[in-house]
Amino acid sequence: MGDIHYSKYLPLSEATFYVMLALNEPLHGYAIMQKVETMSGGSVTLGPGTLYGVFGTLEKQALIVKVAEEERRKVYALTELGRKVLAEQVRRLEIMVGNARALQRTA
Amino acid sequence: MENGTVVRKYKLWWAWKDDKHEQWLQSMASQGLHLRDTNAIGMHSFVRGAPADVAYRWDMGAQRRDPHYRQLLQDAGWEYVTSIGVWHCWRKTRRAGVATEIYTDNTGRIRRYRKVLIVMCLGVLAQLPPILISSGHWPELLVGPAHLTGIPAAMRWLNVALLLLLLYGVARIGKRIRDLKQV
Repeated sequence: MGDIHYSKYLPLSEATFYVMLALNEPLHGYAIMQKVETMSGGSVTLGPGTLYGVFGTLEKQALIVKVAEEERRKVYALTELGRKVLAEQVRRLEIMVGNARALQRTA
Repeated sequence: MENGTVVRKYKLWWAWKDDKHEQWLQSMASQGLHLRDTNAIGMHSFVRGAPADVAYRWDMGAQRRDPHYRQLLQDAGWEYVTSIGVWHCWRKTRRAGVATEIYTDNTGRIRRYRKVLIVMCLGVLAQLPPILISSGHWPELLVGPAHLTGIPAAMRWLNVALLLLLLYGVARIGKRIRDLKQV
């Protein structure tokens, strides 16, 4: 694979970010909803319509892939590209948080 | 009145005021009237039962027939109620700390309203051929064709009225999408 054009994918929306974060292990939709709610301390809830839209977009961008199906539940996992995009998003967020902290210290 | 009785109520609602209609269905449920089915001309039938705190949501699109999407909604606690064409009604009991939105981000909400917009635009296009065909030459587009009388004339005015209503709907849905984009 050549260079990845991260600007094509970033920044991720809050919903998309948490879906990708939850997919560090293969999961189906409802398990993702529960995991995201727990991870975010209840601050991010994903409605089924929103989650389905995120699945559609991420699958089209080849950031996630269906790996199994269990009783009408699609199980998704991150692709290699998905992992790289998520890592780049985290790197950029860390820079943003670092900048904000530095400014707060000088204020 | 006994539980299980079917109660009919008439209420017209518009696609651009779907949230108002959802609130109305919720208030009916709080009085013990639970939606059984409804149709495009606003007739609703409710089954009388115990009063309950229930959220109603109209979802839009062909994906109701997608078994994976249905399963996801059911897993998340939603119960399918009824449909009007491509509009699908779901409900879920309201409890503290339980999410009662099918769309929790603006991207999803905008995508949903865009689907409504497409259906309305198709409706506009469907009205154009009968109006144009019955209009003879262009001034008659506005004043109505002189050669038409009786039922054909009434049909034509019905087409024109429907066209204007749909154009108004397109404008209202367009505004909702613009408002969501600004948030």
